[in-house]
Amino acid sequence: VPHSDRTTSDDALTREVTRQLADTAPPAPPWDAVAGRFGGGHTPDRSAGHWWPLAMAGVVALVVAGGFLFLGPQSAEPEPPPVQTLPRPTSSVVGEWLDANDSATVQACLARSTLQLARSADVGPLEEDLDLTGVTPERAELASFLSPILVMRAAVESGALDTATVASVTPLLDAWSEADEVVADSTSSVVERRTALDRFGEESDRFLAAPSTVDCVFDTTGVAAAIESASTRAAPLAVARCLSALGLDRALDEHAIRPDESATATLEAALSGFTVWNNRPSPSIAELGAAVVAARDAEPGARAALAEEARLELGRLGQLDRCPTWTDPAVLDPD
Amino acid sequence: MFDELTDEELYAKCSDRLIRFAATIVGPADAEDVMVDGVVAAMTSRRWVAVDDPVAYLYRSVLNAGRMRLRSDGRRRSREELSTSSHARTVLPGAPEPVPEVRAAVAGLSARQRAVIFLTYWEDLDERAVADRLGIGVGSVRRHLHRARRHIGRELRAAL
Repeated sequence: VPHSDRTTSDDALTREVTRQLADTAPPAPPWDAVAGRFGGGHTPDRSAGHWWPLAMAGVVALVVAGGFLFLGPQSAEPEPPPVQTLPRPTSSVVGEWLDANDSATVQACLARSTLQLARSADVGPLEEDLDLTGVTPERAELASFLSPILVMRAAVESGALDTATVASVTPLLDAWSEADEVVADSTSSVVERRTALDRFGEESDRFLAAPSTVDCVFDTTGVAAAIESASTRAAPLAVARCLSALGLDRALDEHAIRPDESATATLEAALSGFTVWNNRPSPSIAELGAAVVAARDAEPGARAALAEEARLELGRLGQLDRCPTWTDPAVLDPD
Repeated sequence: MFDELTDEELYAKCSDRLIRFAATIVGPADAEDVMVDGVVAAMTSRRWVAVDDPVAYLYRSVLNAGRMRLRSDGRRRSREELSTSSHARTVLPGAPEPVPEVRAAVAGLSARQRAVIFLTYWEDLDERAVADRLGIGVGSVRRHLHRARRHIGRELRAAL
């Protein structure tokens, strides 16, 4: 489907989905049901309550003015809020990975971090249930991007990337550093923070949307080749699900799936990048790769069995939770 | 324009939209609880009488209540999955539900993405108005919208 048509169709589909969701809403409860929950905590109605903040503002102004006159100008200087800090991952994974920084590994991890970047933007830190007590929302938002940014920065510093790839990543890293500085600065205003975050968001979109960037990363790692190799003739649900489970579904957006003889080798290469990223040897990854590739040749009737086989394998590897679509009971329930 | 309204009048004006908003975020079964939680939290807040845009404040409060509900649901499901192999969702008898394909397509969206598509497609707000309503940047709205559309398109095309 041409890109513009697909965009239009996505737009129409989203409108229809929204309509269905909104239409399922039950009737709103009557006001009495809401008011009954107030207990003693309800402040006066807004329509009658505007004297209250004005009066408070007047009192505060008097107190501040009095303090200013009594103690001198320096006492009116507000205490800066405490600097919020996030735990910075030392990322032993990145360190160990850099020790083994052959070009293919660096590229594989760059691909992985690109995917993670795309995913970070979709899943906010609060949805991931991180403990962010006392952390500003802006800092929390940035934290969700930290891991992929660290890897991208390490990849650039490793010297193993070609000039074009470095050039495509650098504006994103610069935007992140700038946003990180502004957000960490306790004297910056909310507007400055949002502006810096927006700029990083736009740079992130630009990076992820640029076909040359994605192609460059995926062509080098073999992930794109693997996905392109994985066959339109079977339209394998299992392939898509396994790749999604492994965090490689970003490429599915851009690449059609076609058969190719080298699918097994390229997919295994991609999966070995995943193994390196997770810093744990997983011999079963190769088996999973073979199962995934086998799925491309399956007839539609056999796909469910292959998907189930891959699901069990993912469950054994502790990776099942990476693919939310598999929570569908119809797919999950072995019975 | 809403400053002259009592809380009850404001509720009467917004409640239908708010419960649809809640249903978009958490589904119809939890919509009423989440909507009432959000409204009560907003109207009992000490800042309530001084907020500039009470409608936006109500929407954000309902969104926060929805996010809390989704997070606690996630934890509950994790616990259940540890103790049993059943993954069935609890659906109230007789509660209207979107078709399974729609439910599956929405399952992968974050609460904020759901909020953005509701305000864009149901309330027909432009990006700036959505940003103001949710208290986020226009760039973030654009990003959430783009990713939500892409995700829904991909999921539904695969399902069809």
